[in-house]
Amino acid sequence: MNNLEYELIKKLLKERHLEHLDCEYLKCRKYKFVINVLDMEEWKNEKFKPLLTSTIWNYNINKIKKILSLPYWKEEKFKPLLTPNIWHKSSSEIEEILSLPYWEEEKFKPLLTSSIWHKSLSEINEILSLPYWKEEKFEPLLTSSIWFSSSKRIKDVLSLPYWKEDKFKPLLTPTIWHKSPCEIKETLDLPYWKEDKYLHLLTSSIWLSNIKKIKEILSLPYWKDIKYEHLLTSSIWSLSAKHITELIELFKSLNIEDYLTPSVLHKSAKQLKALMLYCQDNRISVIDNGKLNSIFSYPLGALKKAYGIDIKLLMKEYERVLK
Amino acid sequence: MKYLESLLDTEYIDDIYEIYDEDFLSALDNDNVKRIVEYLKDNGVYYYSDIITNYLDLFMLDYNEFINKFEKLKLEHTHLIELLGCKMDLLESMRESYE
Repeated sequence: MNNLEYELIKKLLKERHLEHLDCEYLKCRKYKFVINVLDMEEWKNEKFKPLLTSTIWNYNINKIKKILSLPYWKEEKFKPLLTPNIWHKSSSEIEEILSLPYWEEEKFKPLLTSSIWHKSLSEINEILSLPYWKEEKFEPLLTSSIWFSSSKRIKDVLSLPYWKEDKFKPLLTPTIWHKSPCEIKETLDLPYWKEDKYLHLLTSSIWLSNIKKIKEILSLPYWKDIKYEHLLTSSIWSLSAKHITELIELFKSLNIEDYLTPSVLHKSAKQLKALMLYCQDNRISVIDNGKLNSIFSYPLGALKKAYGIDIKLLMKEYERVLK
Repeated sequence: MKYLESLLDTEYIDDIYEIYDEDFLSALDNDNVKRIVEYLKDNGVYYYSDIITNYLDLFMLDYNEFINKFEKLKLEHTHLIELLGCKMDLLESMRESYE
């Protein structure tokens, strides 16, 4: 390591306002090499500028020049690929990937994102040549998140038998790649999907949950009672079974469970309880015109402004009761 | 959650952890949430913290999809921003349309 050389490089970067390109690896580089890279004409082109990051010092100038001179960068569809990840590939591999025939087809174009550089040419080929992509129902799955799955995993998901059934088709969305084939199988084998009342819960948001939590929510006793069925909306997957139970029990304890709505389930139980206690103490009806009083749908700031009700203060005031 | 933790008061963060499932929270895309919050701020939604707390599942929508749904809601209700300030439930229709 030549300290003097590194000091000169640092000075050069400072003069050109490129201090962000400084990194540990630069200590092993020659001043001449650095200035040659920085003086490359290519950097004058806006589209190449994102590629000038500190990772560039890991490569030789010929490789850099060769990659930037590829003819593909003239085409708009390939421009999203111009990110520093590209340096993980050789120019020949980049060329082979970009010359694949798939990029002529509209349906594959959303896959042209920088995540593609995490895959090898053979893996890309293997994934894109899968016969499933000929079926329209699988096309929504062609998004860049596919590059984080292996071709085996993709094959295992797409070959599951459930996709033959219409009721499961809304689940074919990119979030499915968050799940393993086993988890998908376990979720779709649940007996609940045989009942109509649960079918509208089969939406992509189910993949954000996990099998344990899905089971916890669906096994709650409330769903056996028709008066709670309207609470079964797909936004339920963002909630925990504990929270749902707490809210329903709160409304039940006040005999107002008929006024529960899906949006109430997304409120803090403690805040609702404090506001209910405030209503009780101030002779304000919690139920107004057959609905939950509109003060329950006010944002906290607006509630303070319009009614002088400070929920946070109320929560402190009713702390003992709330516990 | 990293972005939200830097944006919201601890009281709101506590509410979020009380209401939402931890797996759901860890699946939130910080950049997407940030873009939606910026859009709400640009639209004068000063009560965005309440919207985040009570409608966080909507922030799971892709930014463009969220904007389309919100703009549609704006067409359906004149003075939507003021209206939402006392009737946040209007956002419920954005949930219905992603089901």
